[in-house]
Amino acid sequence: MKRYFSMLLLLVFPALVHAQLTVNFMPEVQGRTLEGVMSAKLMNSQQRRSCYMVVRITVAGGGLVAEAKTPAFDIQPGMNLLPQQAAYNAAWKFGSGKVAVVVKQSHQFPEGEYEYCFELYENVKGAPGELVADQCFNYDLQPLSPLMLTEPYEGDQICEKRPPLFWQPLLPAIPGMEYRLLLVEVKPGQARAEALHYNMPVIRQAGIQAPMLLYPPLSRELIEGKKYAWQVTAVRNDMVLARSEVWDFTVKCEDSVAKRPVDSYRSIDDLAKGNFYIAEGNIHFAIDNPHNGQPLEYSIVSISAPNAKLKKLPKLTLATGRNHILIDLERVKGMTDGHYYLLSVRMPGGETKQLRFLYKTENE
Amino acid sequence: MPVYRLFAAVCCLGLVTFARAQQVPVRSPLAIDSLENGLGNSSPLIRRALVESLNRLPAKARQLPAIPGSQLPSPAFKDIKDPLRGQFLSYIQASSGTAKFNQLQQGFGVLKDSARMEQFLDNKLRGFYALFKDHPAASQLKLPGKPENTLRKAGAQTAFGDTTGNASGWWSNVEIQDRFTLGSIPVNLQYANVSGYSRFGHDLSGENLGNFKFDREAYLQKVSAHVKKNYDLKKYFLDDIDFKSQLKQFADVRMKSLAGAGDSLARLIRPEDLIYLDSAQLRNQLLAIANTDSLHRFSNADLEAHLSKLLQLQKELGGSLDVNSMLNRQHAVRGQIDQIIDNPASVADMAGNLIPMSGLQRLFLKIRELNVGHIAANASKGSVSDLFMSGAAGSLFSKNKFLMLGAGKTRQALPYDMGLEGGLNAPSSSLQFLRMGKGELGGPHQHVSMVNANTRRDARMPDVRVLKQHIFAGALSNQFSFGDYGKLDFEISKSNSSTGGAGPAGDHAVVSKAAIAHFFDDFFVTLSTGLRYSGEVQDWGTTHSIYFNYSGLGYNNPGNPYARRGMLAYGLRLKRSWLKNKASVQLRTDFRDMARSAVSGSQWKNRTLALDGRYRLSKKLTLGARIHESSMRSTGGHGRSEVFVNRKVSFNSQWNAKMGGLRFFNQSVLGMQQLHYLTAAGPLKSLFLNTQVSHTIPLGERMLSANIFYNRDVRNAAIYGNLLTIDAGYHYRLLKVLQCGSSLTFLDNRNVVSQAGIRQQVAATLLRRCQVNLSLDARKSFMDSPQNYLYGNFRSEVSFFYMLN
Repeated sequence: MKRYFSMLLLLVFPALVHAQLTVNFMPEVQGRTLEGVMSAKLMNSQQRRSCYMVVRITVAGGGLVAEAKTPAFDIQPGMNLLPQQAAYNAAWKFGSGKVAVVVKQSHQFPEGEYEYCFELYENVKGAPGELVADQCFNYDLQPLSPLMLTEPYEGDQICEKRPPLFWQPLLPAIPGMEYRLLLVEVKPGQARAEALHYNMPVIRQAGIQAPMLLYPPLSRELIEGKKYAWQVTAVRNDMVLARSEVWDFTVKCEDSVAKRPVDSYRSIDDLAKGNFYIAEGNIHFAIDNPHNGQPLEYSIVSISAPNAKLKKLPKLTLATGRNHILIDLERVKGMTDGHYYLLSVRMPGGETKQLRFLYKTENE
Repeated sequence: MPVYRLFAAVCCLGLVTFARAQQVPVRSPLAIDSLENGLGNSSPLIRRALVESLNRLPAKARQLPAIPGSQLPSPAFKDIKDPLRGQFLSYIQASSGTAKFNQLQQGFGVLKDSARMEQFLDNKLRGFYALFKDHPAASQLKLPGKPENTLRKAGAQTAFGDTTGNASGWWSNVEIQDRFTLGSIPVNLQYANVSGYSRFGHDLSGENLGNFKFDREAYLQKVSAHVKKNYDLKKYFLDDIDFKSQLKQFADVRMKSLAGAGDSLARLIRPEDLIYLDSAQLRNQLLAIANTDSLHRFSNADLEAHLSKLLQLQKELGGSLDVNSMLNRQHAVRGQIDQIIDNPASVADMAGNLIPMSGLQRLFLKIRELNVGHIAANASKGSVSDLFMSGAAGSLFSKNKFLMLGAGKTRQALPYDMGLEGGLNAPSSSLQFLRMGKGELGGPHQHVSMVNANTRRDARMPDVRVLKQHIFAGALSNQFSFGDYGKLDFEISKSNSSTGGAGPAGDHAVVSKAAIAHFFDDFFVTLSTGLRYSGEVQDWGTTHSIYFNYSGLGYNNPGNPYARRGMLAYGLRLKRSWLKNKASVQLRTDFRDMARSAVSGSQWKNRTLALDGRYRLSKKLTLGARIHESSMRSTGGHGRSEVFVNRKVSFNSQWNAKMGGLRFFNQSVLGMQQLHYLTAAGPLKSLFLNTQVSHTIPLGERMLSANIFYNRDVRNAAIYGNLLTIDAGYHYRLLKVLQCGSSLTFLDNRNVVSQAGIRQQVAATLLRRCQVNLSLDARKSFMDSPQNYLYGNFRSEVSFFYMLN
């Protein structure tokens, strides 16, 4: 009985029926791509029905951009998304203008004043019948700017272990739009696209409003020597608006660790016996002092250029017991890379030990 | 816009011509082939030296069984005596396999004296010579075929945090890494399960990811180690043979045995002369001696007779030029031997000659990459780049020919994209790609590539309406090397796409065609080109690169998901260091103009400039400065306006010294930054002053550390502009195995949140193989506000790993 009544209504009040089926479309978000247009929502205040949809997009000054005709699909009561199958199997026709060519190739709408028209036709025995809804939307569209990362730069080497991260904002600003940032470690030999999926994030932050993120205080600090990849996604509610490219950087602080000699401190007695030594930036040895603390008496003369004057020899003191002595030759004025020198050290007992060495500046 | 296009096209064409003209052949660093030629392969001298040396060995020294009775096919090898000959044959059988050996045996009859046969036997002879004497059994030459499996790492980590609102909760990651080896071919398995649960107990998302990867490095090392176990490679390169003295000795003996005036000839002409002098020089030498030395005066006829004998002998030695060049080459080869022996790839290259290998083992020597599962694929921007897919991809390189193939279903959605169900683009496609040509990816090459894709739905993003679309992209990629002058990368890529399904039943008006059928449609709109030159000048301490990229508004390459459309980008990077790297300056600029319109010239114009300087004053102090500016302007129909500026000046120092007897390390940054951008509510203009100080004092095994970060928005424009965070901690060791760190933390963001708390970290390596990490950060808020979406109160992380490697 109810069905007959609605059929009667349908016949008698077409205008009223129009209002029963409405299209919910947000051109500022959905009007940017063909996929977006097809995700317009359909509000059905009646019972289930079968329809065909035609979408026609035109641009001011350029005529037809694209036209889609979907196969028949069911619309349930309430809010509907176009069923996946209907969207996938829709037939498309494109205009021949410059705008249409770009849309045909990339599915993205360039700048322009667009009109998006949605027409819904009743499915009458497998063929489009009466027009049951017809709605158009106009929008002066500005394409989104590219979402690009800026700092830390691609492939850079940085010193900070809690670096702030920056990118360029997605414009024009859309109300409700926010950013999400993901930062993961990239393991040796791993591709960064793989790292983003496989690895546990170091930073996984949603709800960012500004095009920057000060390093989250709760996240672990980054580790020296490791490589990290990051990506920013711009979202609005449940919709991905844009993804940035993936960049990586390495935390490597050139001077974070002072260069200390890797080899041990050998006794000066042993070194003097060998009578040859290569001093890379410094000269280091161990010396035993059975007496009380006293200044270390030593001198360095150049063998390669006997007239060269050496200044600012570091002042060193000997404590009682075994002393590890490091003479920083880079601080001595007048040292020449590749020259031979003679070091004379007066031992605490009064004896003098001599050591011939080749000076090399320390390479980084 | 058309001007840019024209410029792009002309630029590209011009540079290709230029590059071709300038192309300099580049020497492959460790080419075994050229090295073997360098050894004067097939030289009778080398053969003789080897045979003599082998013949001198006592027969029992080699434990190889001898194949009796067989003859070697070439008279050149007739000097190899039994039982050595039998052993040599047995070695050929063991190192080349029975099938090849039988083939050879048959070939012995047919192919007598062929040059290929001789070369093969020469190579085998060198291998036989280099075989370790105490080799236990011939069958051991084979690569071990037994399957092996090693678990390399297994573990789990889990983290809980409350910073990200509703999406926060537990995230865990279970990871397994395993290597199995079959027929000596190692394959690594990587498995990860990523899962998340919200604080309210519901599933956030989850992924099971896994892949198998052929481990080329491990394979080469395995093969190389096996070769080195069986052979003395220095002997293989004849490092222990002194050709010069062998040659002299031989020449000496032969000269003395020359009929007639042999003895007196030997007194006149030294064996060295025979090696180094050409025929004219020899004649002159003979004449000179004959004229000055009254004892050895020759008649002209005698002189000619002697000379022809000498030249005959010289010819037997290989001719003076050949002998000389062989000696020179041997000298050159010696310089490279160590380098080759230490490089597993070079040793593996020779393995085919030295050890018996199956067809599959030989094929895997050529395979560069073979990955199956959830994998990434990378080649170049015009083909595949930063692509993630479930499928398979591999590449092969042999005889300077490269082939790369792959197929799979791509995806962009990350496991952490919880709640993101909609989108503006197709989230996935089923994609196949092919790339082939000359040269390898890392070096000079000329490749052609193709990407074919059909859009697909992705269950992770159910709200995206995917349209039926077929995309085809083709690219030409070249890398030219100018030797010391750097290299040039050039790529041109073109796409074409067709959209549409069958539509309503009975509607035949629109039929979508395959994208490849109209590949050259809409040429400039769907074109993308890239050009990059990079090089260095060692004398000046500079490295530099410049690039230029263009892509049309309709360019669409599913193999490179982050490719830009409608973009004209160019820029340069310069780095110079002085005083042995004590001082360095780096400049980077990027100009990116993105077209917004297909008809007018309106654009988003991006500019980035970064200038970094660093000077190491002494070993204790390094100072640095940095200027960075990135900005975006909008130009076109809506006027010209600056929509984004990020301008920054900062100074930093790294200071490493002693104070009050304690060493410390200090790192500080002081900066000023202008950040302007547009929000939906209106323009926002901030001026930040920020400083970051990190101070560390090592106390033997323990350490004190303090970090301060302060950012102030002078204009009070940004919500998160006024932030102060401080933490101070102590790192120590407990119970010998626990490495601990305890810190106090404080955070204040004016008018948003204020909190203080503790951070505790514990790391331990138990039983040498288990690694456990625990970290906990808990904070109490004194003040909180609804605007706080960044700073939570709690985060903990636990990880447990069992490592074998």
